[in-house]
Amino acid sequence: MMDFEYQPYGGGAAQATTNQPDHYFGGSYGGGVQSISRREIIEHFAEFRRAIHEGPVTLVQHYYNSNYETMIQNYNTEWPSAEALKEHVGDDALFLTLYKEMYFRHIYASKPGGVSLEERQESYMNYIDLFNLVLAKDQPLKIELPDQWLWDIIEEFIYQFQSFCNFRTKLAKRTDDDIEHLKRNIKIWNVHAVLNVMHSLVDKSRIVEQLEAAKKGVSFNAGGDLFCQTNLYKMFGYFSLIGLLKLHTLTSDYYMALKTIECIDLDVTKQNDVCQVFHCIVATNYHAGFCYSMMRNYDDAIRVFVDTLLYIQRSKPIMVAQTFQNDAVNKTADQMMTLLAICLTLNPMRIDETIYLHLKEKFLDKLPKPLLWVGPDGKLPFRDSFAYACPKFISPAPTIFEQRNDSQWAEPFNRQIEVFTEELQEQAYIPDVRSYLKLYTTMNIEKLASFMEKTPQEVKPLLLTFKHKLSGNDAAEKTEEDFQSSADIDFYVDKDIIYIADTKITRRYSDYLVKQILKYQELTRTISEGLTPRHAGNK
Amino acid sequence: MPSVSQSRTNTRAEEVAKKLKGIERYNPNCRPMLEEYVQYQIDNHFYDFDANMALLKMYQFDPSNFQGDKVADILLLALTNLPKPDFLLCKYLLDAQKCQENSRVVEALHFSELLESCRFQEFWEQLERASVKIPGFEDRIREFICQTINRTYQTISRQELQLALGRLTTHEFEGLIKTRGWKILPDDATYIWIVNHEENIKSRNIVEKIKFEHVAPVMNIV
Repeated sequence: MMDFEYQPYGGGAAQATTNQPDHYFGGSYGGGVQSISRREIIEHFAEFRRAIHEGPVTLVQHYYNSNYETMIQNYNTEWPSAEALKEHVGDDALFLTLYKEMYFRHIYASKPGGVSLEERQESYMNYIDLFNLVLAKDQPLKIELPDQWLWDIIEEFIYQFQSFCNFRTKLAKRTDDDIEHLKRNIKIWNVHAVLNVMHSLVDKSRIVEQLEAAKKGVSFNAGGDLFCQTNLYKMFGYFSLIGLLKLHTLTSDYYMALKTIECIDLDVTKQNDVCQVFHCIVATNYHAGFCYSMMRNYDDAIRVFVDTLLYIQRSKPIMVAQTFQNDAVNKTADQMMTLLAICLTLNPMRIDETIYLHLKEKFLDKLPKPLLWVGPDGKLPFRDSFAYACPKFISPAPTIFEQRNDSQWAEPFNRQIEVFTEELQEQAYIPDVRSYLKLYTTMNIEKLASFMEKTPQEVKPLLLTFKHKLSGNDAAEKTEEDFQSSADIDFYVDKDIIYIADTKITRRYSDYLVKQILKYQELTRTISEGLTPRHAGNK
Repeated sequence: MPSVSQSRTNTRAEEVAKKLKGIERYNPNCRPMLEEYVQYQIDNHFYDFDANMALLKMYQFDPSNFQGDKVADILLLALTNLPKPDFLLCKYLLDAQKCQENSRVVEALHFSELLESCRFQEFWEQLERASVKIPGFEDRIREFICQTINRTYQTISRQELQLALGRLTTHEFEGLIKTRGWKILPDDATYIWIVNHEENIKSRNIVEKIKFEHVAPVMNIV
């Protein structure tokens, strides 16, 4: 259901181009060539540069998308170096930094043997140059870039930071030279620098003010500030908020992550009003949902995941020419499904039928029951599901280069899953309590205790824990709507007896029946028209 | 919670919040101020989760500055905000090894485990043996315990309640019952009436309501 089916050249994206005519571009790169000639690439970029300076932004978007369509199909074509381009396009600092950003992105994505330390450093310096060009002026930059590109820049920036943290902590494989170099250049990809860039973009665009004004329904008064009115800055600011969300989640500061996006309404339709970049909305909700699950706010996590998964389903037709982002979206969708499965196991509640069926089929069976079940090898199998679904955590702390092993790299993940597991251990008996309570409308505490092979004194804290961990709202405040999607069971204790209330929701048939009636009517009409084609006016 | 000149603490909170805006939040120069502020919170019966998280973040960025005692204080303050998940959020930011090295932090972690699994009687026993120097700590924990009991029980045995609330004199105990609006059952003094759950926690059968608008399109066909 979430598989990516669109294949622009009828082959896997990782293969070199086969001899097929270049339909996508109307033959502007010549049909049936194994790879593009260097000359043609340079000309392409010269055109690209002109489009950036002259607009319109749709043309820029076209060139931007086509870079990847053609270049990625041609892994054996190296991108020309910036110096080579400079000879042809002149000393256009802005274009060259933008070009280099794409150049390094390509290297990170596809260089065999991995990215070298020098390349990482160069890429970092290039980002600093780029952001300086954007931020350091008195006047906003006069170019217009497509939103997709702006998002990709921020996304890649955070990704490369993450990649560098991995590089500098996986010390087992680092050469002595690399380590010396790292020691002498601790400012490269420093967490403070990354934070600084993000915050500067956020501040420059006054995006938080703009979003809050939109939320309240008042108009935002820019007061003569040109920067926040320019789309480039506004979207850079917005995407930086998401960049910060991601960064804080990666460094396990879920509080700050959610606080940063307080001004954003997570409802996908509302997000779509501000940001039409599909992948950005998916990434935002994935991280937000993850933060909710880590802080035990399962209700909100489930709601966000289901909302987003439905959104992805609906948007499949749009996921067409969005280049390499599609694979990323599909992977994120799978991760969300896994997290959703985990949250539902901890906090069962009713969700959308289609999502639930898909979940049951593919994901719920993968999770061990109970979650903390220990396998025959003494390990916890649920760790694998969690490891797949969680973000790849990093540590912002400085590297201790003397420890020449991978422990500093593994530590962030280990810590997160350890704390999460401890939380689960505190909730370990809740599923059992729930399943016993579901069988009765009243139950003596003694009886529950005997079912669970515990003493009544041991069972009472379990009941309290159940309430503590899982009831977000007081029952009295719940509306009819809340019940539609809330937990299935509730109880209270009177002296020694537990009174249980469960919520049964009958199936909704009206939508289904109406759809079927309309379908049959359509069918009847088509048939009768088919039988009497000349009497189209008859019913 | 007794407010010690609320306007004064509010002003201080505002000052701190200003210093933590945007990128300044990560400025290592803020660290001494934040460390002092933790003590200020303790002395003034006050709690500023945001500032405390900023300090923990600094320890995360630069573990050489890790102050076990400050962390222990922050964790204990977080416990006073139960049932909110403040403690859990703090835990994710802490280095496991450094935590084990400070006995007060280990103690705080143990308190959290007991409170989160509602083993209240054990908690009070642990607390006896510890020395928590946060004025008002016990009261706020008691507040959490009362809330949880409120959610779970309609009627609870007196003995049970006394154990859950820790060492209180009979006078204090009865005072607390009164303040919370609980009542000793007239016919059976061993039980205490908490709140009426019967009204709200009932089995519900949610039946689909078919609105006219839904079926209007098919009305002319049927």
